[in-house]
Amino acid sequence: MAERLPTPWGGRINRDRAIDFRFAGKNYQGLDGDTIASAIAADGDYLLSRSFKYHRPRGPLSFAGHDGNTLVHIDDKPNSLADVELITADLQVRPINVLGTLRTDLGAALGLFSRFLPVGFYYKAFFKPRGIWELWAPLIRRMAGLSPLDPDYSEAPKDKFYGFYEVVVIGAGRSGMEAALAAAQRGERVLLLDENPETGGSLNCSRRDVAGLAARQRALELSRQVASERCITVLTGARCTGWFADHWLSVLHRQQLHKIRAGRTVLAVGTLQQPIIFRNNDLPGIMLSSAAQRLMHHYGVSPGKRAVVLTADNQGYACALDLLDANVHVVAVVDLRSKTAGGDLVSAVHERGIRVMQGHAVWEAHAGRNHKIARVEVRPLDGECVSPQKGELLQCDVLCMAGGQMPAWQLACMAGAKLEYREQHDRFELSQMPPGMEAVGSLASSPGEDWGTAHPWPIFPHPRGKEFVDFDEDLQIEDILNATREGYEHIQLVKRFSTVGMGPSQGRHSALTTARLVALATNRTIAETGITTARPPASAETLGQLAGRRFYPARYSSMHQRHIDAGATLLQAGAWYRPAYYGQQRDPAIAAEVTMVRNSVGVIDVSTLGGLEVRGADAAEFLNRIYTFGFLKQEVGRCRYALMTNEAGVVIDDGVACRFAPDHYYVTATTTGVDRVFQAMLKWNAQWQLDVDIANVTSAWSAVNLAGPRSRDVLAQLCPNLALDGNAFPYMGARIASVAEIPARILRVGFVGELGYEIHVPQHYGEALWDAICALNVAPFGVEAQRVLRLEKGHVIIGQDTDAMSTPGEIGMQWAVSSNKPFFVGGRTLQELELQELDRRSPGRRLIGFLLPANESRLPAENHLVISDGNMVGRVTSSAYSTALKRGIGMAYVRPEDAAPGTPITIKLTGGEQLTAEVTSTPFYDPENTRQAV
Amino acid sequence: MADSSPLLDLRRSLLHHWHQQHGGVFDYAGTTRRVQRYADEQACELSLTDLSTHPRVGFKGPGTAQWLSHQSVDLPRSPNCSTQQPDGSLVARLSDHEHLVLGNIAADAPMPDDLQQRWEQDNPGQCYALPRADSHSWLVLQGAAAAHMMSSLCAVDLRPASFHNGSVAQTSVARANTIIIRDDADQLRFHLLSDVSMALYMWEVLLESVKALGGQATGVEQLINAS
Amino acid sequence: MKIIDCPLNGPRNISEFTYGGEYHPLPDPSEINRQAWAEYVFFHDNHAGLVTEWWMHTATAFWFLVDRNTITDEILRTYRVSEVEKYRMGKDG
Repeated sequence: MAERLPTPWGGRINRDRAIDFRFAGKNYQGLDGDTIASAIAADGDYLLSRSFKYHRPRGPLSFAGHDGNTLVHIDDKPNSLADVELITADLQVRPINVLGTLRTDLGAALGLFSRFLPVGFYYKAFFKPRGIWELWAPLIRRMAGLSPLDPDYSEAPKDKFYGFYEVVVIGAGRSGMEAALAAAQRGERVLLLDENPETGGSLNCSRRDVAGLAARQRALELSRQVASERCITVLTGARCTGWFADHWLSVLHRQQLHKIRAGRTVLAVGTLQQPIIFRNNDLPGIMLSSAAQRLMHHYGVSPGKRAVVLTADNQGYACALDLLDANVHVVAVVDLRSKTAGGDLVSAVHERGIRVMQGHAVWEAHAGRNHKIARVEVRPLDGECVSPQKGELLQCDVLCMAGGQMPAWQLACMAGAKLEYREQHDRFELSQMPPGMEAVGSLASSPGEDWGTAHPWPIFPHPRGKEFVDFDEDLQIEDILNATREGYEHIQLVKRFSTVGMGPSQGRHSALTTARLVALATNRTIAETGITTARPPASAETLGQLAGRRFYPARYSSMHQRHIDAGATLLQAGAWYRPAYYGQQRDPAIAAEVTMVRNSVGVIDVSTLGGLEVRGADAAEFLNRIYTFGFLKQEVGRCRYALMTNEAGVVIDDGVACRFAPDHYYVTATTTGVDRVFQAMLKWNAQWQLDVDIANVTSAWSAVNLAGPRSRDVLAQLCPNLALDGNAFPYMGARIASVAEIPARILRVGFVGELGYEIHVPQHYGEALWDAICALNVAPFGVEAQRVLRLEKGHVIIGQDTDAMSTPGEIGMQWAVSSNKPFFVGGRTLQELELQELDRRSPGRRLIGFLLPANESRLPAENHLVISDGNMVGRVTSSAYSTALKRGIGMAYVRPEDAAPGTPITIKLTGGEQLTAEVTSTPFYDPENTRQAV
Repeated sequence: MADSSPLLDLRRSLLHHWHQQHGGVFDYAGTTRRVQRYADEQACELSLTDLSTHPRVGFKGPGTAQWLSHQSVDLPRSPNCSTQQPDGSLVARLSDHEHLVLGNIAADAPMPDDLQQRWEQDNPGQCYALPRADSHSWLVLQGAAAAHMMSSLCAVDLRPASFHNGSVAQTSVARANTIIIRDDADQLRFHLLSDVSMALYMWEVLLESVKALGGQATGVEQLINAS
Repeated sequence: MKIIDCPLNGPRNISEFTYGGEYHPLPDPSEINRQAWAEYVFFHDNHAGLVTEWWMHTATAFWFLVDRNTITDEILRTYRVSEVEKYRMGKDG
């Protein structure tokens, strides 16, 4: 381990604690507080990874987690940023995009052929012939594609948190801390967050005065004040990745997602230092001047022995002074600007005898051993162009570049602010900040305030290229220009064609240069060209963080434990878990349950059935408007079938309405439909304002259907005082009584086509009711058996046998539609549809029952097609093997002309086989309905 | 005080089997059978308790406020507020015309059942009883960390400084519709009422969060004594 | 995430609400001609600008109306259905 710079350099490291780790097969030792990249840099090494496309050696550009050059692989953490990720004992780190070893990458030869890999290469080269991409894809995926993913990876879900603050300040630098303190003094609750591990922001790693003391001093003072304010919550190591409507911020902190609602947002995110574009500007050892300062200030690492500073503004001078104080030999400050700029820092550099090359640029950089920068060729500038004459070679092992500033615009622009180019200042500035958002500090300050006016064109094309505009995507000047030549002149199209700005750094270091190049190539101003839309996330989020802890609400009836005890196989209906059948063997279990109900008695849990209380003087009028039938004359103590259509006349739900008092109905609805029915009822009555109250009591009532020829005998034992014979309690009757001493509502309805009673009891008595019934040797049946039973009776299940187009007429339910009431929802539309059919303007379709031949062993499934002359003319909606009929039965939509009983229809099965079925009238079973009405 | 009604033992929380499997010791209070404590229960700072068998009732309709006032109920002035009654019951106003009555959890809680009986006798106009004791489960979360815990489950700001004692929020907790009532008893306490069919789901979700903060499921004994 | 200020429950995340379509007063089906009825049932204004919409606070099944600018996605007012005559479409009440 190399020696570190003495304190106060190295504010983040603990010099007393060394940590060993491995990178690229080599042992490294860093200090507690080091990132992977700083620990490696302390060893004089900058090579971290290979680039995405050409496998060029790359090292850190920003040392702030802002660039994609530092992506490395850690087990369970693919694509980690080496300049953010802290080292831990025995951490294993691998470089990415490497074929062979990091130092001798076989893929790097691609760089030599880069002229054959121009932008748009993939689109063009693999477009034709068809199928060629499939041949190339595995090869290319191996060359590109970042960290390997472990398909077996899993992690414990992490909670997501909701947070609420009157003010959220993003960025805890000087202006951020000042804004937080001001808000706190007004008594507002403030969240102050920063991506760095400490407050202070750039004050901790930059130089503002000649002595180099003021910034750190200010950071300490402000941090102390912030820490003592009770109204301020500080989150360091927290990244705000997005701004969403009404100041809803996504913040990642300790691998967890916080969804923060801010009363208002203060952005103090500062500016992003820009690179300078010249040949080989991506060599390891070339970094932003702020990166070199971060290395020294945060980690006490000297960036090199011989440094060249290349600068477009005064920031390079601040870096040069830091380098000098750290005993780095500063070979020269190469200033793009022709005139000496004013300012204390500039004067100080001159005073300390550093060679300043005014009006010069780096023409190209050369790599030495270990791929690292070894020297640069510096040439004089003539305006914006580099002199064609051979220039001077400067030996160096680090190049610090300061290419000017770009406001960190992403969050502001997500919120609707505009990033406008001010030609007179040659830089982008934020404007039109949206309500509730404020930019402070260098993000908002006028140009030149901090670092003087920058050179307007730090872009130097080279005949042999490799002047990188976008490091993530390996894009050179020529690639951007090529995109415009291909006709993609709009900045958004340039991005999509070239992929510029799509990488991990999200255009932080490429957007400005791209705007300048596209403006030049398309003869527009930079202001007219602009930059691409900023969208969340501004920096990387993992899917695990976004998913967080998963919530899947599950609903159980009060009898659930009994179903489990009885060995039920469950199925899901909405959020409900219901017994499909009892036992493991599906078909035999269902068949046995069906036979049991037909021949004896069975009980099924129907607690999931929707239940609505409709009460009030206008209850009957309300139902009359909501459902298709007439309800005004319904007797108390009777049930009536209730079919619901929407305004388009489409059947959307059904149930049974029981009248318990003139002003009290209890209405059932389908398991998955009841919430929609309830909401629709409330919405209608919000307009009608009838004197009626609607309450969804679905969960408040547990219910069973006791069905089969013996059901009356069983019920008689449970409620000895209730008259049950067919006259006293007829089919479609409803009673309030005690069942096994439990208060109950009993509905005599016949969904399965046998004598049967639906018994509804308050939820908390559900299990007791079940136990009382089963104690009388009644066995349960499940949903699957019920489906077979109801199909044998030709009963339609809304949503199974109907779709978004089904009208009552189509499904043979015209009988449930009243023709002599003034209004019901959907009524007018149904009248019109009837007229259309009379005019033969609409062919329509019919839901019919079909029978399979007795010797047919195959069974069509839901949505198998009904075929005529090779054309699709309908589809199957339900099917089952009927134990009672000893053959397959089903329902299907067919053309009206095929709906007559006896008509053969052809059904196409999976795989293309066909079978013939015969249209038949329904019910299939007990067509005279003698069994349920006894 | 044991009740002689045979219905008492028949009335079970959806969590009944969970309580049995986890060593729940049941006791009787008024018309309620509930978990007094669990066999391995310790004193804890954050607790979750099932009160689903405890009395409660709802009333809804434009005539509700008038009728309840005639029954000497002290009504909250605006929706999403609650008031403590002299007998320790809690009345929460859920909308312009809807009220929820929770029986006192520390003592005999006759108010909900009394109101239900009087409502059946009076049959007041435009006032309809709601079977809240059967439609909703009733869980109680108690402890200083309760608000922090809820911040990972609920998007409403429940911090004590924002959500004052007596406040009601009808919202989504872990994707399930829930009525949250803050009803402090020396320490922070939330009543959580959600669809009864989701009782087991809510219990498991909440208990996982409670345990992550060092809390546990407790019976009513500790719930009452700790408050 | 957008906030809707529910007239019953106050400001809540939009994820607590269910959209209920454009607000169109129900025409008298016995008075209206076939063409106008079809327009009412099947066609939406899809207007760019100020519209009135149905929204429901899901946890309380509370329906109310929202005046919203579909160009800016700005919510101008939320109100109870009983207040529709008073407030709809920017009336001051």
